[in-house]
Amino acid sequence: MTTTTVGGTYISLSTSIIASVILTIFYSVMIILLIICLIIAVYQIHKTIKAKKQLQAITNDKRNSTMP
Amino acid sequence: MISVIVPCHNESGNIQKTYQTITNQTLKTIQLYFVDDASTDTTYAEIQALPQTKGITVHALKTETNLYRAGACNLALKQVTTKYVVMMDAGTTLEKHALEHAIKTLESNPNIGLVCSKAGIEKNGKGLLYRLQKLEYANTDLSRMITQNNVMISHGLFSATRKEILEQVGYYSENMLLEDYDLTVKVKQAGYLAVFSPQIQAYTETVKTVKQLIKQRYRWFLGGLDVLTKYGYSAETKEDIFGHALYLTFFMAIMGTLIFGFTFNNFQITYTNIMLIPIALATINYVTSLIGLAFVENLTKKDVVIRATILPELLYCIFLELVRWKAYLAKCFTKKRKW
Repeated sequence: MTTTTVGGTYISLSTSIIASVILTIFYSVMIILLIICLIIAVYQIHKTIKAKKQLQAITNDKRNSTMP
Repeated sequence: MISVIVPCHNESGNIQKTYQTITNQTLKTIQLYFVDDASTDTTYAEIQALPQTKGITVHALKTETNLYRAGACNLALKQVTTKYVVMMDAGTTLEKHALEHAIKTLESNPNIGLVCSKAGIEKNGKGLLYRLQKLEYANTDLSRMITQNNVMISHGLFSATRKEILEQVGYYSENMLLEDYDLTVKVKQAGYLAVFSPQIQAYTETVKTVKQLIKQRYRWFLGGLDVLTKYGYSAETKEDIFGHALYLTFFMAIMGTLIFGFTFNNFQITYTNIMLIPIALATINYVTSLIGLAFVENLTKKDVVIRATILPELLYCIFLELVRWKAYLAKCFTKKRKW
């Protein structure tokens, strides 16, 4: 049987092809997901800064309204 | 005038506190409904002992069997005669303008069907578990602030609405674990908005033990999944469904990459440029979480240390993920629900 080494382990060529296909799929999915998450994270930081400003404005309003 | 409904199950000790927070409100004409949901302690006696003050009428209701939160609220809601209603938990304390703000928000736009408050944690807690929950609640407030005009859940801690809307949607569903999420979906489907009002501040107590935390979160996760399967994919549930889908896909991709990649790479991790993406992601999330500290009520140095050192919150997150998986498995393999 034709064999190849993957990480120092001898495995059959067909197993190696299947493994590399599965790995490629997982890596591709991972990269796509990471990019999606990165976009979401950037959007999130923008929204968080905006929300913080809004909260500060509300806190200031409250402070002013309780002033004598 | 406004009605406030407080369902209570074995809340002895919290009745007086709730009554006090209502009498301290700037709004002075309130119909206060306490519903004792088959308590086995002195809750009902404590409710009956409450004085009737000027402007605040106390109604003491009692259920014969345990109807849980939804059933207890429905019992009172059917007796409400006012236009506006607030549902809140026993033991919750409110900032003195809370009811006034709730009415103002509902009056500001007839399309608003539900208004929920900020959910703060009371100052009196101690320990790591308390602080982790405090930070977590602040994160939830932050996400509510971001989705201010379309919150996913108008929580049971403090939600205000109009009586006519509740009649229209058939009140709370009594067979759901997460009756507040279910009500939010129903109100949105009826064409109303569920909004968050950061001016309304409500404070609650955290659960004290890990066992209680597991029970609470398990109910939240499983209850959320029940709502999603009840209503399916719709405009009201799509955000939550997308979140679950992204989480599960990510989880499988990470596990697959670890198992296959790690095994076939002789159990070694080799650096590739692709790793810059998760590093960037982690950095952005870290910065976001530091900015999010602004939403923590009564922020202390200990809270900042916990957030800045990452590890405690990371472990807490992993712990909650395990509870989430318990809920996923229960959703797949069980049908019985216990509140």
